[in-house]
Amino acid sequence: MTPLLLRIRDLHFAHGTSPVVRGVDLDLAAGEVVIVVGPSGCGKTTLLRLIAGLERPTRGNIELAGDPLSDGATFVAPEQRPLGMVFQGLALFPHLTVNQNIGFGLSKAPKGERDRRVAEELRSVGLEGLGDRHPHQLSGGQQQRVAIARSLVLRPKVLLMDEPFSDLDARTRRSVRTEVARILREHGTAAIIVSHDREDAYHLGDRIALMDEGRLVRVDTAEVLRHHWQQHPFDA
Amino acid sequence: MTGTPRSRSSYRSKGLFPLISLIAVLLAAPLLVVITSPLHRAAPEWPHVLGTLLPAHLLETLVLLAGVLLIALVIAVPSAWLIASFQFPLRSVFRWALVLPLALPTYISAYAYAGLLGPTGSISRWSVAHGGPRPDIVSLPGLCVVLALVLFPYIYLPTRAAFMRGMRTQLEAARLLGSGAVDRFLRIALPLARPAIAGGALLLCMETLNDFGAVKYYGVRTLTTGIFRSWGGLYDMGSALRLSMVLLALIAALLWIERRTRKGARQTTDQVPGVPVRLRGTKAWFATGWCSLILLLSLGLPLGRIISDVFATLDRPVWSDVFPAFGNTVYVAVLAAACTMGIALLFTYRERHGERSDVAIRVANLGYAIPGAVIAVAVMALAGAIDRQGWMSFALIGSIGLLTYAFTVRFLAVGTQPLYGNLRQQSISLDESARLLGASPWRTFVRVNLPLLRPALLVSALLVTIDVIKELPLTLVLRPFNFQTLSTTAYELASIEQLREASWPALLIVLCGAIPVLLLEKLLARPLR
Repeated sequence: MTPLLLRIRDLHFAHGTSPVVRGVDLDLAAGEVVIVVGPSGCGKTTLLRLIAGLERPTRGNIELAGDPLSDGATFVAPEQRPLGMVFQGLALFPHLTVNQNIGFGLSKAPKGERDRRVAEELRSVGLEGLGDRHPHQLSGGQQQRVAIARSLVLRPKVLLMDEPFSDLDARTRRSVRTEVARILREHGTAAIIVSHDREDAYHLGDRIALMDEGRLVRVDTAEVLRHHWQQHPFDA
Repeated sequence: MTGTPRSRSSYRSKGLFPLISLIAVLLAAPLLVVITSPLHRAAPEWPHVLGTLLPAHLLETLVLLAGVLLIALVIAVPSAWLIASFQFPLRSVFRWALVLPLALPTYISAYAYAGLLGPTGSISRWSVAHGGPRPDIVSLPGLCVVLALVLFPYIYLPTRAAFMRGMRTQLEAARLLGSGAVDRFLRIALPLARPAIAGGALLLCMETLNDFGAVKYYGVRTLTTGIFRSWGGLYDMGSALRLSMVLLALIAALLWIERRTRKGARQTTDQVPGVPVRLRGTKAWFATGWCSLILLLSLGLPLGRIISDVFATLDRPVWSDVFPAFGNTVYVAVLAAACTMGIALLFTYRERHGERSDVAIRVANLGYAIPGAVIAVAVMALAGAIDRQGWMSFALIGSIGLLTYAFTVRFLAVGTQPLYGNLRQQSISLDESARLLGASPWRTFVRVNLPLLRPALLVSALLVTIDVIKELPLTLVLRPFNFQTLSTTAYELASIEQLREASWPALLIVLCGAIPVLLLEKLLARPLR
């Protein structure tokens, strides 16, 4: 049986008095990809930010490989969590080259090792030869891959992706989606991907979590949910 | 379908752009008088000025400029980073209080510091009485410190705005990549804020180069004092105008450097405000201590001295002079700020939606480079020529209209620079979307660009208002007969060595300057948290 990697229990978060995330329970196994889908404003992005440590939960526990990241007594700072995140707008550093972007998190590694790992990651995402360019000199799909490479080069235990394909046209979206699936599979990285697109969910997710009003209303395999949605097309 | 609105918008633009160019030419006219002065003005003392006066004054100007800029950067950038990125005790107070030194005229602060740390200052005397050294701030290095303490908000304000908006996701991404607070500051925030820092630094340099009261009192030989020396001491206006041209060349070089700095920078378009991280323990107290120290030196000490002088002169009849001057100051400042910002917006619109850059606008924006007294003389020359024609039933010289015009010429760059900087951060696709939806360039500017410009517009209006309140030489020369403002009252009292009585208008100048600062902070506080 695949070991449990991330365990979330009774997670709550509120902006002032407005609840955003309400009692989320979610498990993620090693190498598993879970897609969180749901309408705009349902709390998907906030859920990722809570896992990343960019927001502090008002209640609940998050554990990674048995170690607490966030509970009543513990709160591990984002920079100390072995997690990667690809932001919706990608958040590439516009003043740094592709190489410098990917190597950003490796600043403490010796130069030789840093260069080697950056080159390796560039190859892995198919961007050899583009390392000296700046983000604005790349296409949308290439920028996407830089953002993924920048996170994966640190070998995170879990990769969080917030609407990773939202800025891409339909054709690029399909090819980048296939590419992301390959990269995640090759790295064996578990991932939680937020999307509002069911096609993303079908093609990338081992499981799909349907979120609404801050709650996970259904978590099931992609196959089961695809079947369900085909039967009840207006459910979500 | 889309052809109709496009052709209509083009027609409107064709009517508006020439009008904007005409305004720019009118505002550039005094500068043209200065630039062409060798053609129409003799300079009998120029060989002496060129051989002896210019080298010394130019060298001290450059040293002063470098010193003030360096110290102001050390004060402003870390303070802006602390306020924008962290929560610590008294942060909400420091956020607005650190802008308050802008309300303090440099010459008032210089007098106050001389009264404290000059050879016979109260702190110096206390130090000597207790066997310590006798500090003397009345020197070139001392002036660097005093000017930097007053002028650093020119860098602090835009830098803080850049840190608070525009880089949240980049900073969060860096954090998730293991980057600590100092690392994030040096590798992400600082490079991304470079255009804002450069814009603020340019304003600070211009203020430093234009200062007259403080440099005169501290005995530092700058190009500005050289101009007054040539004009008032050697009675040679031609040489004064030639020195103004040297000053103008220096400013043009600074503008060029600033433009280049912006050109190389790549901007983010993130408009989401960052969430300050709470500091705890020693780090929190260090942040509070740093901001307290800056506030004490930039505002507490000089203001304390002014207030103590006010209390020492409570029994003297200063109010009869100060009350009318206060009303006049508010009237002129509001009028000049409204006029300047209206024109600044038109120029910003032209820069954004015009097909090519307008040379007249660029020249008009150089007005800030010329000392107030030189602009005053040029404006008087122009107005005198018009008055002599007898085209109008009233005289321009000595009118509020002419003073407002001169303030607009002088402070236009203060109004436009933050707007230009902010506009460059707006993606051009916003305009393109609006145009494709049928909006004219003007409607696009009003409905799309202008709402996003609001923080920069407030910053610009604030800076112009405070500058007008503090402005001295321009007001002295161009004000209507028997028309006193707070700055002219303070100057006239100080010039007859009634420094303590001068503390009354000085305090009011500080309070007048503080009101728009506080209003600005209140308006910006909501979206910025």
